[in-house]
Amino acid sequence: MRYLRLLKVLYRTSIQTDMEYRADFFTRILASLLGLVATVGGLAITYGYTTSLKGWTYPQVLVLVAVYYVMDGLTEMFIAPNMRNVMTQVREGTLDFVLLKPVSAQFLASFRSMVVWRAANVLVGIGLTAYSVGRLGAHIGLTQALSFAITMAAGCAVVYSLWLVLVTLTFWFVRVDNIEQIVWQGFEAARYPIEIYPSWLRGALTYAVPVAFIITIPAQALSGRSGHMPLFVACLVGILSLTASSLFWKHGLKSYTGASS
Amino acid sequence: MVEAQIVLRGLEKVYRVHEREAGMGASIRSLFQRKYKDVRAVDNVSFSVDAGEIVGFLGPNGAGKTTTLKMLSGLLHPTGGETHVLGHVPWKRESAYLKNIGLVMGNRNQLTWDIPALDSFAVNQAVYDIPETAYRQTLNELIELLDLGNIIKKPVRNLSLGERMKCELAASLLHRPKVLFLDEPTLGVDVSMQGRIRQFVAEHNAKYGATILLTSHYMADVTALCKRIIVIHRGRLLYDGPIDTLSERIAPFKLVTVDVENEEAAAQVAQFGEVTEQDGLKVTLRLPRTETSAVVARLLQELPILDLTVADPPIEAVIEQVFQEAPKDEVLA
Amino acid sequence: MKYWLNLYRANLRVAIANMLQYRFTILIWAVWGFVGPLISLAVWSAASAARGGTIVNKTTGASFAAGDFAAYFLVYMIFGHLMMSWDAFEFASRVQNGGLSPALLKPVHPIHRDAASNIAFKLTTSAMLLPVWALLFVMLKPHITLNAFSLLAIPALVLGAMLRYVLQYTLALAAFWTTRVDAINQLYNTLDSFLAGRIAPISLMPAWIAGFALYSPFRAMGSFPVELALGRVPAEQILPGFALQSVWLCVAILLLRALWTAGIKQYSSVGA
Repeated sequence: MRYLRLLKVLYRTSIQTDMEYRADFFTRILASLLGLVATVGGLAITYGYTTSLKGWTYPQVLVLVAVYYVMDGLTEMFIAPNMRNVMTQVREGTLDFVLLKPVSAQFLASFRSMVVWRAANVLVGIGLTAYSVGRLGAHIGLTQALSFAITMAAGCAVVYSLWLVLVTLTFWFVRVDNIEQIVWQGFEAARYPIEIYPSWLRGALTYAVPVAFIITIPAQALSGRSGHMPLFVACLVGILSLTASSLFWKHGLKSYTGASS
Repeated sequence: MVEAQIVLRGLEKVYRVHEREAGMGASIRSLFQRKYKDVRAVDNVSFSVDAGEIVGFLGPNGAGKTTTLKMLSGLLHPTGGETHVLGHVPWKRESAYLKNIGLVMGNRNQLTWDIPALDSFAVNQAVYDIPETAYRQTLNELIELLDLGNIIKKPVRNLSLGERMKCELAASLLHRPKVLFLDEPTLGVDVSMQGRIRQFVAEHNAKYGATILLTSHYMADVTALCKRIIVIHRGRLLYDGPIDTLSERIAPFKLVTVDVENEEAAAQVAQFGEVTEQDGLKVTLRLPRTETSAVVARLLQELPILDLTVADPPIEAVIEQVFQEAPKDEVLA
Repeated sequence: MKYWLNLYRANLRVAIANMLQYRFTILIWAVWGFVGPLISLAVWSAASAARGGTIVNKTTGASFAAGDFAAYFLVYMIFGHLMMSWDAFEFASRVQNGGLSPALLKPVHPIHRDAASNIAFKLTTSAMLLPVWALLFVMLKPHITLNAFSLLAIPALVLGAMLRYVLQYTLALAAFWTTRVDAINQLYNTLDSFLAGRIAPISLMPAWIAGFALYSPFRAMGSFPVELALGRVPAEQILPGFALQSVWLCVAILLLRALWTAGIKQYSSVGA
């Protein structure tokens, strides 16, 4: 399909650019690992005093942190930089060039480039996942691995939708960057089991800014904790959020070009 | 008769702008009561362009040139009137339409900053779905015509403004658009590069017959390239016709600036024509074109003059003048 | 002396005016500082709940109930805000895109303008955040344990702020020699998380970490003022604590001057 070919060209260009900074990759991995040490170390200290945090054991929490790292890494690799770029483009009037192209503006804006070195976070996350799953002592069967993959995909879809909504807001409120920060702070909070937060925050992190969905659900799928959302619902949420955010984007675009709706 | 390639009828773009003065008091007041003003960026503009024409849009800043181009390229929805380009309605942004047009904006880049222009070109090839052979051929021609040989492999951020403009032009022509919109393409570019860009545009049009709509507030851009001029001011079409008649109609005078030796001479300059500006011993006169050489000769003979320059009036002043002289609804044709 | 007062007053005025312009942006940015302590509080509260209400370090005897954690992290949040600095992050881009050059043309060291900006930020944001802090006090029900020495927290706070500012500015200078400031900043951050008592009170940490923390600059510019305010510093450790802060501050200033001279040489040799 033509869009796949376009994607290949776009990513090839990104990789070539990033290759110039190849040597930095190892420093990036180092930085990522150091960040991980802070989180995991902190948790290790806490778990030195207790075996469970609101029902989550140490290995289970590690899985949560791992999922956060992978999700954050994937987002910063493929989605976030482009979205921030779109916000700038709207501000500076260069979004017009995207609109002039005979391809879907949403596609071109969303997948313009890939930040290769962010793969460091993804790799560290995957490493931690393997380690923590090992510590769980659980046997990861095919169904579990599959449900993990699907819930991750659904989570990614929700992250993308969230970003798209934020970006669409810039059509009306040019300085949205601050709101963006608040959203991602919520994301940070979801690194830990949301049960530790007061109920109002838990609600906000589940429904308003569905970071709980993005991170907790896949983690639960993998660590086999009870009470995880049926797979089917997760897929539904992913698809619905994509559809809703795309519609919102189209609406925003109409407003930007002055179409009376 | 074949319908023209670009047709505008009564095209209109009106913005609702929230008016507010500076100051704390005004800010607070505006929370409760907002005053709106309608700005007619483009006001009842009609014209048509045939395939292969190069048409210049002249007008001061804020006249509505860019807004018109944006409506023609599909980036903006008009609030009234209609337009067809290549048989399409531009703001439907049909893929078939977008593949046949190109837009270059002078002060804005479409090329990605950190990568060589060549890589951006490759992206365009994929975006416009240009077959390999056609792409190679067009690319090589553009490299030759625009002298791009050694600059397309450098990251765009390392290029000078003129080099960047050349790459922007090339990027917009890779897909051989039938219609090209150029919005202030020589803005900020040095004089020699301006000339080269103009030359390129003329050659491209001669070779491929692409229709070109060029906006500028540099008269030189337009005189070099366009046989036909459209003058827009405050959103309205003031003049649509051949360029030679325009010069005579709209700018039938010259500005002569003299530097005199003493106060007495400065006072006497006023006798030779209409004084538009005086700065100490420097006086500027406005003279009808036909009289200019005669008056200059007399000035040099009769007054102690240190320096004398003859210039065309700036287009903004000219158009202001015309707009003041002509009744609001009259179009000079 | 008068010169410096004038300079700081002028810089402050400009910086404050600037801050007020972007007050919304800055406020959001200031809220960043909330997230860390609040998350840590949530984690430790959950832990204490699991242990029947109190966490006790059997070796040191330190004990924290839910209210104690609330007090610790809330005070940490406020003090942390008053000691924060960001030059380490911004400096790198200034060096790389030549934004440093205009500052170098002035007859004073750029740090003074940046320090004034830092102070202005703290002044304006603290004023704006006071109601929020008050609200948090009400919501989180901290168990405030003041004692006779709590007031000493104020000079400790000032010393800590100065130390943190100079040290992170020194760290920022790494940008003169490398573009890979990422890893360096992250190392600093990680060390700070542990040794400054950010993710957990130092008295609850394993002995070997606590040992490091006691002599590191991080505690001096982190949890020391907090512990003082909450009466958690044994009387005999107070004076040594202040001494440590002062010593580290001197070291940091010397380090800054040495690195700055070397760094500028590097910067101008590459071309500003």
